[in-house]
Amino acid sequence: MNPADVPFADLYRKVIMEHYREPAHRGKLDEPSVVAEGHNPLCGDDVRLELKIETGRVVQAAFTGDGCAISMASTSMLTDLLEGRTIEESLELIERFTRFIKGDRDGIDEHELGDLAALEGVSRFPVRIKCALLPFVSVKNVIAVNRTNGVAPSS
Amino acid sequence: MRDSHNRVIDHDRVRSSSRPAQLADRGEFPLIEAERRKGRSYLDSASSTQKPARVIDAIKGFYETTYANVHRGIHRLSEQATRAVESARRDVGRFIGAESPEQEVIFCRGVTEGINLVAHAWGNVALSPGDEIVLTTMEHHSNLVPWQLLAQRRGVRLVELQPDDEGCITPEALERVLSPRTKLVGMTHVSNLLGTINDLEAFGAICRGVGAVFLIDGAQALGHMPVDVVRSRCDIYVGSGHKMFGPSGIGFLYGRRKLLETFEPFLGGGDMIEQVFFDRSTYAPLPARLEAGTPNIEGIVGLGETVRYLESIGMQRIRAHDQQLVGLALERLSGLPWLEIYGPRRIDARSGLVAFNVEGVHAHDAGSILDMAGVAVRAGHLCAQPLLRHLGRKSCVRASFALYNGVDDVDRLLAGLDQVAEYFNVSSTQEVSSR
Repeated sequence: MNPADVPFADLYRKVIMEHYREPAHRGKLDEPSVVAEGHNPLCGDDVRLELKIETGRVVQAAFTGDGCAISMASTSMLTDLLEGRTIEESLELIERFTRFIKGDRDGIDEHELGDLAALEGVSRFPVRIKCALLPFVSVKNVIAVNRTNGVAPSS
Repeated sequence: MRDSHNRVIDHDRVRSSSRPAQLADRGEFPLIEAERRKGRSYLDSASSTQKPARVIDAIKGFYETTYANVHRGIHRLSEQATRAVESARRDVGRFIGAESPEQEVIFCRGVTEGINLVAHAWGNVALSPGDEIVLTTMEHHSNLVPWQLLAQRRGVRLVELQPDDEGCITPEALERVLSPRTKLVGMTHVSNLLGTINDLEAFGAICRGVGAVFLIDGAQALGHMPVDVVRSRCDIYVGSGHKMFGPSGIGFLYGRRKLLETFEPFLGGGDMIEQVFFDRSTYAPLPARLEAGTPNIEGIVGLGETVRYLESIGMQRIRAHDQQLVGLALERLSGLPWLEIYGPRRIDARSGLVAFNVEGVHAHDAGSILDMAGVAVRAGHLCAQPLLRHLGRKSCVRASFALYNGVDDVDRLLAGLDQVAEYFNVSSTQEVSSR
């Protein structure tokens, strides 16, 4: 069976499977600045992202968790992309990918999404969009919570 | 694990026809037939079943010829509609072997509402702080959460009754958790994940012996096997129409008459009263007392037609059919070393469903690939999180068979699983780990 011929090849593209099998940044940080935890009650997926933030910039990202290929691959890709970004740039990326996966591609250049662009096929599987967004929602929430509490995530 | 199912399957019968065949005639279930023509198999009947043309037509016909509100009109249509509803009540009662259907069958939205009704109408008056409710680990959330809420309201203690390694509850295990404070034992007739059929007669006798109310969630049994509430000494038996080839949004609660008479009203409103004053009311006798408001009239009519349809086929035949298919599926799935299968292997203790995990592949990934391979299955926690935790898993895939499935559906499931394994490079040397 040639993977390109099967209907699920679009959902499970090669780059997604690579991130799933050999995720980037899987593990824990010694002293994370913020910890984002996400849970998808529909399928029992759990993800925990740890970010080290210095002067408003993510300098290191790592994650642990159990989940499907889509959620684990998107978490791996996100940790890849967050490193080096400021909090504002991270929120911008999250906002753009969230629109992208929901099918709203206006003004989005696929190249800036890096490997995340491979998740395009997920758009056509509404029940799986939540899987892809799990780490994004978690990071967005933890940044918002830190801000409301007056804890600037920029220690 | 014993492989005794090999002995139970009638292989000659399986081979005698190229597709042994769904019990229901082709075309009898329009949507099943339409899916089949597209090369797709519906193996998610444990979530919800498809509907026979007979039931669809009965609802349509009722709307077109008989519909009016029930229990209140003095005109001809209302009388006819009331007769149709009360006739459906007798049909449902007969179907489960109730002694006095006219009083003992209460229509409600389904199992969830039925159990909530009991937790309020009985639980609020019959229980005191410190009383105990026994529930099994294999309960659907709908037979757990209402009792948790009651426990918070009344200071009642929930006691867990665990299955053994094979996924079965034994009478000895029940006896071990009973105490003088046990007021209710709640149990599913069939586990929606393990497929285990609980031996109601054995447990019912024990509960009757200690005076505990024996409540059964019949969601996964109705439409798949004979049910006899009197012989199995059930005090309460609840069912959902949509899981037994009937409409959704309608179900029933059977309650032994003497017990139901002690229930306080659940919902207040029209139809459940005798006399209403501005500040107080007197209540109607059973069953109206527990059925406030205009019911799902066409749903009740559809449910009545559903049980007549099932009776026309015969529940013993349906059970034999499900057993044959799940036996075949188990036999073939057991040949895949990269599959972790849950539940008893003895098919006399198992209903027509089988849940599993593919090693190293998340249930949602397996479910998505099976879907694209033309097989509709359930993937996720199956509303049975405590049981999955007990099994050390977070999710699983479930294929469930019904009277409209045939061997072609088992073939398609196996072919789909081959694609899952191939795409995810599953090899038989890997350790099973779906966590």
